This record gives sequence, C-alpha cells and structure tokens, in this order.
Amino acid sequence: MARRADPGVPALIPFALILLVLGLSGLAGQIVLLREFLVVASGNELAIGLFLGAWLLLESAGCLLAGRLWGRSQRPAAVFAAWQAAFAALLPAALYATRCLRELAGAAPGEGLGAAALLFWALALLAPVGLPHGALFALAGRLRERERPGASPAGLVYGWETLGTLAGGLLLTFWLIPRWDSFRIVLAVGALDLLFCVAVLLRARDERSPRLLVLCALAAATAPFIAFGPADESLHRGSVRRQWPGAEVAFYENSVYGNITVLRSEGQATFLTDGKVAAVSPVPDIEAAEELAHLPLLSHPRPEAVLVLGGGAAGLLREVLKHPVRRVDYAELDPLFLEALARFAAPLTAGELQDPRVRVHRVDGRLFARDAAGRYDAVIVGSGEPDSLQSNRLFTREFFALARRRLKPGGLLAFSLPGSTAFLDRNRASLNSCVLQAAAGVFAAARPIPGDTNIFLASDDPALSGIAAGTLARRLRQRRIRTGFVGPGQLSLRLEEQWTRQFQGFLAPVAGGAGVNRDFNPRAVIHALADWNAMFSPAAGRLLASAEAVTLPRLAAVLAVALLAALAWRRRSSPAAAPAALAATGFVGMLYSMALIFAFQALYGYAYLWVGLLVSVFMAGAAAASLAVGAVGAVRSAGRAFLFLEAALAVFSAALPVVFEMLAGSPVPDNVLQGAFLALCLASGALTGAQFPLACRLSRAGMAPLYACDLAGGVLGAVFGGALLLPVLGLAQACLAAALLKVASLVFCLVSFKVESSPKS
Amino acid sequence: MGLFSWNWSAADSLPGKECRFYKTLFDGQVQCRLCPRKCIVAEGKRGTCGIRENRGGKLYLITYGKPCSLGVEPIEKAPFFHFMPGHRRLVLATVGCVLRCRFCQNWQISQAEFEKVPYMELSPEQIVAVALKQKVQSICFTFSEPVVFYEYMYDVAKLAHEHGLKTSMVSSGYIEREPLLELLKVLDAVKIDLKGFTEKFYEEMAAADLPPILDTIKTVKKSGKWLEIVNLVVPGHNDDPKDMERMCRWIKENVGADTPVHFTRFFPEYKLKSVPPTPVATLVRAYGIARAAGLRYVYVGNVPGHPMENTSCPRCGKTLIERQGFQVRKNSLKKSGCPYCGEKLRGLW
Repeated sequence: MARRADPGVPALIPFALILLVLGLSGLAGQIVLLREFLVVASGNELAIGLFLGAWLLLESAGCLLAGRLWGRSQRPAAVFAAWQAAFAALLPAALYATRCLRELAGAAPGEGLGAAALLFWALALLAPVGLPHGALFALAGRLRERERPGASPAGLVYGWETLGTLAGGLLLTFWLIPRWDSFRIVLAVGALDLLFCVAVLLRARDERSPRLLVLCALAAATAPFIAFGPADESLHRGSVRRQWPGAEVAFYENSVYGNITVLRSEGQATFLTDGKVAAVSPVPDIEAAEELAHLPLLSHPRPEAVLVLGGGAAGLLREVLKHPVRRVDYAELDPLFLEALARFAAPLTAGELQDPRVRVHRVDGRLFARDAAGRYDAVIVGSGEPDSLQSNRLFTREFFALARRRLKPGGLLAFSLPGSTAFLDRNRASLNSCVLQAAAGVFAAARPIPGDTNIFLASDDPALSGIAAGTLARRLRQRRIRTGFVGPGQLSLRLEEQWTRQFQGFLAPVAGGAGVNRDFNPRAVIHALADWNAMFSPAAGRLLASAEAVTLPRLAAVLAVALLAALAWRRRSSPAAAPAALAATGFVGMLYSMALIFAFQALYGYAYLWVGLLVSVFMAGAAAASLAVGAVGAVRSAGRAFLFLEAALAVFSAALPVVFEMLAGSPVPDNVLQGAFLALCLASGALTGAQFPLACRLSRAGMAPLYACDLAGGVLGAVFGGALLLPVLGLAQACLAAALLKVASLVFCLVSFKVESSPKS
Repeated sequence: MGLFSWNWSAADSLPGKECRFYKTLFDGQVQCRLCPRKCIVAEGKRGTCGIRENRGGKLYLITYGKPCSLGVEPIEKAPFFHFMPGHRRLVLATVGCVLRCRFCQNWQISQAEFEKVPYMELSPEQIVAVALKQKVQSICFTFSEPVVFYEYMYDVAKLAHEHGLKTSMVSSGYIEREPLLELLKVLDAVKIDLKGFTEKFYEEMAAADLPPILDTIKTVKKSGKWLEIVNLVVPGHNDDPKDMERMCRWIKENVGADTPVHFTRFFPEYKLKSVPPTPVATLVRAYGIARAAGLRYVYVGNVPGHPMENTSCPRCGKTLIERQGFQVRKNSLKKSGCPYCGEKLRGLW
C-alpha cells in the first residue's frame, strides 16, 4: 500500500518552487543550446524551427514515456530526482557536443549543414536533455498526486512550470547571456537542479534513497566550483577549439543579438556573426566592397551625404570615403560587433570608423532609416543577402518606401544580391526577382547590374537607367579615385548589355511565382532558404522550392477532408476530441508565438533582444490562465468552456493579421506599439493556456498524454507553421490558416462532446 | 540569355551524341573510359557526371549541343595570364562534373541535375558563328567541368580552329590519357585547377584522387600546349607550407619552371560557409615558396590591386603586364620579350 507524505511535516521547499526551477532550467537549456546550434548552422534561421520542433517532440516523448512507465510509481520523488540529476548532468554534455557538431556530423571544418542533417542532429543532441525534461513534467504531476491524492495537479504543474519558463526567459535574456559564457550558465542551472533534487528527496520523507541523496548533494556542491572555477574556462575553450579546429579563436562572445566570433590567422581577423563571415580585415573582399560602393556613387553626379545600413566596416566605408562625401551615417545593430572590430582594429577599420565624416550609429539600420532626420544622396544596404527575417527587413517593399523618403531629389538606393555570370538557378532567380519587384513597385527606376554579385540601383530619377559606363569611368577619373578592381574596363564589362539580357532570361520563368518581397510576406527568405538547402540537402531544397504550391484554399480543402474523415471515424463522446483540439491549440499557440516574433522582427528588427520577453509574456499568459482555470476547481461545464475557448481561438486567429496591419500603419509612439505586442502575447498565451486544465477534466487520457498532444501540436507549429506557413503564405494568410484549423477542431469537438454531461465536469 | 533564349524542355528533347570513349559490357552495361572513375553504367542510368547516359547499350552525352552558360568575358577571369592577355573569350559550359568539391564556385551547374537547368540549343557551328559575330579571339570551355561534355567541346574546338579561333579549357584535369591526347589536338591552352597536393584533400574535399590529375598536367605539358596551374588556397584545408613546397617542386621538376602558377584567395562558397577568406599573408607566403622552388611566373589571385597579380620579367624584375582586376591596364611586352632586358617570356602572346 502506498505510503503518503506526512501532511503534518511542513514541506522544506514549496512544490511550486520545484516547478518553477523545472521550467527555468528547461528554458535555459533550450535558449543556450539554440544559440549554439545557430552558430553551427551558420546563422540559418531554418535551424530555429527545426531545433524548437525537435525540442518539443522530445519533451513530448519524454512526458508520454514517463507517464506510461512511472505514472503509478510509489517512489516518484526518487524517480523525479534521478531524472532531474540526469538532466543537470547531460545539459553541459549536450552543449559540448553541439559545439563539436561539425566533427560529429563528419563535415569539414567550416562546412555548413543542410536541413536534414540539422534535424537529425538536433534530435540526437537534444535527446539526452529533452527526454528527461519532458519526463520531469509527468513525474511532477505524479509527485503531486501522491502528496495530495484526489486533487487534479494539471493546472498547478502546467501553470508553475510555465511561470518558471517565464522567469528563465527574463533571467537568461537580460542578465545571464550578456554576463556569462554558455558553460557557466548551464553548469549554474545544473547546480540549481541538483540542489532541488536534494530538496525533493528530503521533502518526500516516506521515500528513502540515501545513495541518490548523497550523490545529488555531492554533485550540487561540486557544480558551482566547476561553473565558477578554471574548469568552466577549460570546457569553454576546449569546445570552442573543437568548433573551429585549426583556427585561433581570438574572441567568442554572445550578445543579445547573436554570437560574435573573431578568428585570427597570419595577421588577418575574420569576424563572424552566428558562424557566418561578416567582415575581414586588413584585406577585405575588395571586389565586393568596390562594386557596392562605386557603382552607385559613380552613378550620382555629386554624392555628399551617404547612409550605409549594415556591413559598412572593413571595406565598404573605405570605398565610400574615396568619393567627395561630406557625411556618412553608418548604422550597425550589434554594439558587440563594433566592439570586436575596435578590439581587433586594423588600419583599414580604424581609418574608416575614425574618419571625421563617418558617424557610427549603434542601431538597427531599418529603424535608423525610419527615424533619421537627414536626407541622403545615396543609401547603401551593406548587410548580406536577405536570408533571415532580420536581414530581409532591408529588402522589402516597405523598406524601399522608407528609403525613398530618406533620399534627396536624384538620390539613389543600392543593394546587392547573389548573382552569377555563369548561371542563376531557380532559387536565386526567384530571390532576385521578388526583391527587384519590390523595388520596382516603389521607385520610378530600378536598375539591375548583373554580375557575379548582382548590384541593384533604384531611384526616382529615370535617368538612372541610361547612365553609361563611359560616364561612370569619367567620374572615376574626375574624382581621382584609386581602386584595385573597379576601373574603366571593369565598368564597361559590368554594364554590358549581354548580362542584362541574360539576367532577364534567368528571371523570366520565375517572375510570376516569385512574388513581391514584403515585411509580412518575406518571399526572399523562403527563396534564400531554398537556395541554402539546394546546396546541403537537395531534397529539402526541392521541398522548399515547391512550397509555392501551398495556398490557403488548398490548406482549407485538406482541413475539410481531414475533418470529414475524423468525423466519419469518431465514436460518440470520442476521447480523441479534446486531445485533438489540444494538439491544434498547441499548433496555433506556436504559430502565434512565431507570428508575434516575426511581426516584431519585421517592424523593429531586434526580436532577438525581445524574444525572451515576448515568449515569456506569452508563457505568463498561458500560466496565469492555466492556474486560474485549475484553481476554479470543478468548472461547472468544462465542455462548454472548452468550446468557448475553441471559438475564441478561431476568432483571435482571424483577427490577428488585422491587428498587425493596424500596428504596422499606426503613427503612435514605439513604446505604445511595443506594449500592444506584449498585450497580444499575453492574450494569445492566456487563450492557449486555459485549455489544458479543461482538457484534463474532459479527457480520460490523463495529464501526460494530453501534455504530449499539446507539445506535438507545438512541434508541428514550429516546423510546419514557422518554417513553411509564415514565410510562404505570409503573416495574414498563416493566421487565417490557424483560424481554419481552430474552426475544424471546434466542429470536431461540437459533434463529439456530449456537452451537457462531459465525462468529468 | 544574353545571346540566345533559354529552353526549359525535358532532357530527351534531343538525342545527344554517342560518346567516343566507352566499352560495352555484358547485360547491356557500358563502362565509360573518359575519366578515371570509369563508371559502369547500367541501361537507362547515367555516370557520376550526371550527363553520360546508357541508352540501349550505348553511352550518350546528353548535353551535346545544350550549353547552359554562354557569354563573353576577359581571359584574365579564368585566370589565364600568359595566353593572349586582355583578349575577350567566348565562355561555354554545360551541366555536369565528376568531382564533388565542397568549395565549388559553380555548384549550381556542376552539381545540378540536367533536367533542372535550362539550356540553349546550339550546334558547334552555331557556337563558332556566335564567337565570330562577337569578335572574340578564343573559345573557352569552363565553369563546370568541360571534360564531361567532351564530345561537344571537341567538335566546337575543332571547328573553331578551322575558323582561326583559339581554344582553351579550364579543368580539374580528371581525364584519362587517351581522350586527353585526342582533345589536346584541338586546344591551344589548358588551365588545370590543382586543388591541393595531398590524397587526403582530394578524397575529402573533392571526392577524387590526385595521381590522375598530375598525369594530366604532365601530358598537357608534353603535348606542347600552353599550360597554367591554379591553386585555390582554402585556409585550414590545403594551406600547409610543406605541401605547397612539395607541389611547387613537383611542378618545376615535371612541367618546368616556366609554367605559370596562380595562388588564389578563397572566399566562403558553397558548403564551406564558415571558412574564413584566405589571409593575403598566406598567399604571399605561397608566392615566396614557389619562387624559392624556382618557379618563374607566380601570381596571387583574387586580391585585386595586389602587385603579385602583375607579370614581371623573371630576369630583370621589371613589371611588364599591369592588371586591375580582370583588366590589363598596361602591357609593355615587345612581342614576347622584355623591353628592358630582352628576356623572352613564355606564353602564347
């Protein structure tokens, strides 16, 4: 017969605190590993969706498995403590392995990985931590059940664990990441976990696990010495060395925007942001820097004021300064990147950044272009191609409209995209096409200058299209500009008609399907991701390239068929209805989170800074609602409340894009808009979080399987919703797809529930 | 496209051309004898190159007459520095390659499936007509791996010679001796990408092996055709000074000190996204190693404006050809001689 905790003995540690730590350590592990994973994936944002999908899948599997194996355990505290200790021990190991991922995957040093490999390795690396963490959720429920038999633990566990996630998000983003290296963070989190293992074991006085207790206590006492002693440094350095074999890693730090690494070799410093080469000094990519500076500035008769948005340091600024400019405003988002440039200064970078004509602004380029008071003769987008939501913000129709307002009469905008004189495949042609169409929709003239890198010039002065190579060469001579690459011959070659005709030939077949690159419909990102996958995972690349086939009517048809099939197979009071609806809610919940981050990123560009806060507020909403519904006890009609939430989620999904459009076009101050974003996060979290305790009442499946359903929906939301629906359909249609999904699950529930006499209400 | 329109139709719209170097095996299989892979190709299948297909027991080049790239560019872009400097060449390529270089600059065509890439339909006669119309001085087979579209290249080159045009090939050199000797009859210049000088590098980074490439280099030299060698220096992968020294010594001993060698700068490309660009100091060191090994014409590439991109007289050291990127800014050569000391420089001037 089961022994129970002595209710007369006050608990050493409140149960809620155990759950808080559980949530906090889970999120800490998730964020730290995700950031490291992103470096190995060379900053490819597809990795975020794959990583989150893998994490949720493993958590879900762990929860389900633990529910099956230990759902009736008589020693839940020992099992809980054992799994928590395993999580604490395996987290640093997973971090070390992530840094060695290229080596593990058999990739060459510096080689990228494709989507299939990233998914496989995300699952393999996260399994040792995701599975235990998922199991802990189910075990926490069992622990509570045994302490308080008869009480439903679902709302409490879900709510406090989610609050822990919120606390973890805030702590990581605003305090730990800027201060500690990744190993110190996970070791400290591990120490906390081990401490709570001890607390859990001490708390359950009816369970005797002396060996485990001693082991956890010893480990908890040792972990801080590792975290704050020389061992942390050697773990950090050792793993970074394995991440960049053969290179001298002179700098490796995380900012809130990403990872900055500096590799040094034979007097050269290479600056990488999230594993991708961002700048090189003292000798930059001369060809790229000269062409991006001189083609636009020679096209202008007298460039005096120039705005450079990102990517200016180490080459581009030097070339710009060769023209008779009086003022150059240079906007660069990440202060840590500028700090690294200053710390490893070469004559090139020092000369550029200390030139009296240059004003460096540590701000997102898009926001600078929006808020700057001045007008410019040329705006040059120096950041790389639009392969992420962050970089895409400088290649959308909305940005081009913004840039147009910053230009003086006769001023021009310049940007570059991947090109080739040999051949431009479908993905790259689509990428070029959707951005060119966006520019052409705003400016009177948008002129491509095709080459190995395509340079685009856009202006309201139609004369731009007719400027000949001879004019540029004359200005080059008149301005007495000395160059290594761009000379009269090169200008003549660059502007030859054959390349324009060839470029038009490449673009013609894709122009219809490539779309127009917009803030809330970032076509360029999906084409860039398809291009990436064509290199590494041709099958995944083909899948993304054929994603154009995904349309809202087709999704609606698929949903209708799925609904009809589900209804045909349902049984009366189908036990599948609540779990299915919960999975759908998991899906839309993840989609909301990603849509909110996505929209925030499009408007403000510093979602990485705010992502912790946005997700945390979302989680807070979910936790508060879950706790509130759980605390109400026996909701009189759980079924009706559940159905009401289903309908509310459908309406909310449909209304979300309208709200986004209103926010985007609103003239109200930024802090009000940002407040609105937080309110939306809170509301969407509350709507999704309230369903879980109700589902637990409605379904006989039990807490763990229902949690697994919620997470499984989240997995699909991350992979299918975040990586496919949002980029392919755009924000509005993706939200409408979520609304359709909730309508389908509402209909399924309406038909399936015996509303008046739901099983547990 | 710049000169002709694209065709997106399926691969079997044209029959291709029967390959010249293959052997019929049993069960309808054939063995390609063009490159050292010697693929055994079953009925309906293709070799590693992706463009030589077994149709009914016969091996066909399916890209014959179907180039995907055609344009006019300066010869310096190849880079060829001793082959009529400053002249414009017609560049030509079809899909396909037998190597799997992780740093390929033209992976979109070299590693692509034939059916996924649009092409033009141009017979050798039409190519030569284009070249004459564009007033180029040579036709250059490049971008992907010209060896794999051998029959097309051969026919175009042969016809080009008949019309007074020069011909050149930019290749990895992965070809069997017999077809190479045949091909050299219609080529004037060959540039070989000697990607590294260790078996390990070729095996891991290019899925190929080194000895056949060294054989090709020797064969080209023996044939009397103009030869230049390019080595793309990839940091951490093929930049070991000892390997570079061995390579330079081998070049001098086997193909002579007058063979131009280019050490070019790598930039993150294709799968090597996170490999830093080559430090210029590494290239300068390679230059020094090559000169110390006795090579007379050594260049640093992909560093526009660098003085080692110029051609200097190996005897008096005076700069004779000044380059700016792909352009020749100044050429002081008098016929093939140095105007200052009279030294004859090797090359096709």
